[in-house]
Amino acid sequence: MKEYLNPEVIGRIAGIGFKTRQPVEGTIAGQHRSPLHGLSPEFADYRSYTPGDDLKNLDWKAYARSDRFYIKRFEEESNLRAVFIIDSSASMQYGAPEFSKYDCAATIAVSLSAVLLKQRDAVGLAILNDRVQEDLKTGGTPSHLAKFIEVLQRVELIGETDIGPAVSQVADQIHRRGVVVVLSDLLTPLDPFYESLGKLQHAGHEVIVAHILHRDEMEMPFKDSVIFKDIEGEEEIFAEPWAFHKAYQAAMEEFTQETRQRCQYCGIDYLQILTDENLGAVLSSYLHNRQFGGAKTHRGRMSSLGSPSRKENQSEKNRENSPAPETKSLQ
Amino acid sequence: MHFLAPLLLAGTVLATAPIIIHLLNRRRFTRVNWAPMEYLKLTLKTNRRRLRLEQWLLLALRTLAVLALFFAIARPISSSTNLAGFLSVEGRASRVIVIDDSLSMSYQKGDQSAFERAKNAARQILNQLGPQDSVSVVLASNPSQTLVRMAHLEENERNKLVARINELASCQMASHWISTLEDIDRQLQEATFPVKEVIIVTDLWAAGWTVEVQDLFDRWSQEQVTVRFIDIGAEPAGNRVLRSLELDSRIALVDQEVKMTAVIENAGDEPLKSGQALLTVDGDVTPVSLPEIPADKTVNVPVSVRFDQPGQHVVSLSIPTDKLQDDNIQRKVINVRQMVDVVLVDGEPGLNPFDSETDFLALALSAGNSSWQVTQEESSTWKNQLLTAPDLIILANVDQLSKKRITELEELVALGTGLMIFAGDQCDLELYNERLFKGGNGLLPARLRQISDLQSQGLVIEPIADSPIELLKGLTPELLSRVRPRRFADVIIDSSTEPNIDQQKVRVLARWNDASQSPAVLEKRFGEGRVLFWTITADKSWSDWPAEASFVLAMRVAAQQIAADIQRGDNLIAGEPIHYELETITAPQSGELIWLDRELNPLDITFGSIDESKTMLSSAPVRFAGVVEANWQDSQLGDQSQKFAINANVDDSLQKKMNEQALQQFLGRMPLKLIRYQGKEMDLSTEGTELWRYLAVLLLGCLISESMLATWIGRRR
Repeated sequence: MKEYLNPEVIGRIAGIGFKTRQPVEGTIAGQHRSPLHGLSPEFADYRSYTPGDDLKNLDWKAYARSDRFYIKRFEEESNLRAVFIIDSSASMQYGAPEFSKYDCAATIAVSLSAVLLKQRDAVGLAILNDRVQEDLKTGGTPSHLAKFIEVLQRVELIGETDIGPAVSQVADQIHRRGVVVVLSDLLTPLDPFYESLGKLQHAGHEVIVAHILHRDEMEMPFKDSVIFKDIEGEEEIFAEPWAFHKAYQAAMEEFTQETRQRCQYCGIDYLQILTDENLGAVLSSYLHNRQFGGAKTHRGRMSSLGSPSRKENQSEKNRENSPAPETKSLQ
Repeated sequence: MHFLAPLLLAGTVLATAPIIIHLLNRRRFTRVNWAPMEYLKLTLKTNRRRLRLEQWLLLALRTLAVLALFFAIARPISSSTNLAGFLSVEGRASRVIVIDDSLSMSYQKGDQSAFERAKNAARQILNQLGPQDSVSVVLASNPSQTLVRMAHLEENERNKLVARINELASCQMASHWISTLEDIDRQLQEATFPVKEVIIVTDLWAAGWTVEVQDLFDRWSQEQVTVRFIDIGAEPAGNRVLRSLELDSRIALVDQEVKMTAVIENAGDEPLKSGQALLTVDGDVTPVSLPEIPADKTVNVPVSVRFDQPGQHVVSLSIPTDKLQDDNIQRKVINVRQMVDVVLVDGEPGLNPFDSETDFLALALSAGNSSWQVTQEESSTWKNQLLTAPDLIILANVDQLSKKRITELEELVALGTGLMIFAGDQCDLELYNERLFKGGNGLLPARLRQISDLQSQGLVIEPIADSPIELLKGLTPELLSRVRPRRFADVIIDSSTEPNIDQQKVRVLARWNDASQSPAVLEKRFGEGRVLFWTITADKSWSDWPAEASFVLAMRVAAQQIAADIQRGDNLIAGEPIHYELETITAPQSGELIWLDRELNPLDITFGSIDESKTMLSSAPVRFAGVVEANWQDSQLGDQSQKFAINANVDDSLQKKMNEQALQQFLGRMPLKLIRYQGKEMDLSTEGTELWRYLAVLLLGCLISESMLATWIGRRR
């Protein structure tokens, strides 16, 4: 049994906490902004008085200045419902048995869940490859973390990576606005995946994509001749990596850059994590940026590569003559 | 291309090492379960051509580097114009350098003859050879007289030898390679080193190469003798040859026109138009207009001269010059005589005019012909006296001759004296057959069968080329039909019954017009002389023909044609020795042979006796063409001299140059090693070009390129 609860990682991020950037619909009062108006001390806005309103909310000073009746409204703060979607396809086992990509994703999910549960937020879990393999309903009790870890540990990494439809399926099941964290190597058909991300955005969720990769996959550091066997299939390719590893690195770099730019353009947090990196440092840096950084610029909704929004994206990129919109770095 | 260390070439098999390593590397691999297959395939797809090109280039560079390494250490030497490489052998060698100096070597190309180029090549070869090797240098025309014989040449000795080579002149002999190579074979027996080489510097013209050399080359091949050819010859591009200059009449007399025929061959591609030859008679030059000679044709040009003094006269004819000048001139020493000496041997002398057997003959030959001195001898007297050497002897109805006299006659005729024999009743047929016919080996052309009666309608002249009585064909048939002998000497000429008769030498010149076409006149060539046998008598006992005018004509024509053309050896062809019989019995002590028309050193001559009756003047083979004069002191006759004309052997003018295939046919199993020089300039490299430096540069370039390419492939991509 792998132990995904890493105190060191949790210790580094527990003090920072997790704060949403957009309102969420929780079930109980919490630390996060809610789209509803409530009883918190935070003034939200005014609205005109209508008969039947409680007079205690009438702003008399405003009446004195303008001779009109205004009702003061206050924001409501709610708890967060975060759902972790973890890719469990066979490709995620690369790096095993030491520390596979799945291990990395699970560790991240557990760590963030521990922080969220400590904030009295609720966390849920969906493990999927080309279909939903495991689905853990959201829960906010401390004991929920144990269930969370148990589900992660019993997952078998099989099947091909096609998480787009599965993510869409999960999105249909989340009715209240919250945070959705997708942890995957993204070696999947990207169009349906982007479509599913757009669907999540459309439902009002804040989406975070954690792109988990092994360093070998980025750099291809092999010295000898290699037969590459498809980890999710039967195909085998003989190659001498030293002859083309730079070209391969460029191709992978282009892949990650494009994904990053698309996510950033749509206001999705993109977090690229290599399995050999210090997860505590990476996550703390990310959470710190969320805590104290400004709101993300949201210029459009994620869609497939062939959709109009993609063309709009491309034309804007050309117009600005820059590879990506100006956004704040998360790393 | 040659290699100084050819065994190291075996290392070139290691050139396959990069390929083998490459293949082994493909077998030595690790297996990786890979997730981003899509990007791997995309990368391979977009880089496949570049990867393949880089791999092949890298493999080629590595293979080339190994090849260059082993080729370099094998020390290759270019052989196209590289003499050092061509001559290179492993170990010390005994070499014989043969310089072709035949007539064809005078062929000019540009301003240099083939022989000059051959000397240049020989100098370069000598400069390549160190004192550790033994070397002989010979001329092909005179291989026994070596310039140097199996010597180890130090620098000063080599310089002296080169100086001697510089002074050499090509001769006018024809090549005769079998005799040259046999002589060299004897020299090779003296060679001390196991490595033996024969270096032949020649123009490779075909003349002189015969199949006999193949056996010798095969034996040399078995004995590990190496033969190298250095071809300095140019492709023949047309040549005119004056093949011969011959007297039409056998006798040249004072104040009589001497007709000669020059045979000129135009072997060129262009016809010779309005050419002019120069006829030189005792130093006086007269132009002779030549007819147009079409290309590749041979024409006979008549030339006539007249001499006013008896004795030796030198006549030469030269045609317009061309690239091979030595075959454009022919020289002739002509012995001009005051008169012709004829001896008539009468077998049946008579008391009254025209009773004798030879009276009609004497009248026919001497009447109105002051140049003919006719002597009538009775046979009984002539048989016993010392035999002189007249120009013509006529035996008329001589009963028989002693064996000694017949031997003397045979010697005279063999030297060129003419002999006519007339039949008659006195003739002892049995003795004639026994001593004169000798079963076909004697003077008589045919065996005598018997004296027979004859019913003939006249004389028929056979149409035979070069017949002594050919002029009689010009007589009218009526005149010839009046020649009707009553008797004749029947002969047996059938080769089936007389197998020893040489059909090439015996001819029937005329026949009687009877039923059996009986022979009337027979000819036999005996040595240099000719014998005519008339089957009738010389008087009127068997026919009335001696009283006819046609008899006078027939006798004069026949006598003129067969009278002595005694060849005493004063006209020679280059390469022949002088062998001249002196008219004295006591051999002179000494003498010398000087050149009259060339600036060459005098030749040695020797005198000797044969059978204590003949004194001979002899010399070594004369290799050069020209006119020489032998001078000696005779104890009885005082100062004596004799001119000799030596002509170029035009057999060597054969306009055909052998290629490698043609030469290989003569070499048999001997591998052909040939270095060929073309072009205007003859420039043999003395330094030699070893190629290892170039290969080392190539190797270095390969290594640098390989390193750069490998780095570029591994890091930049």
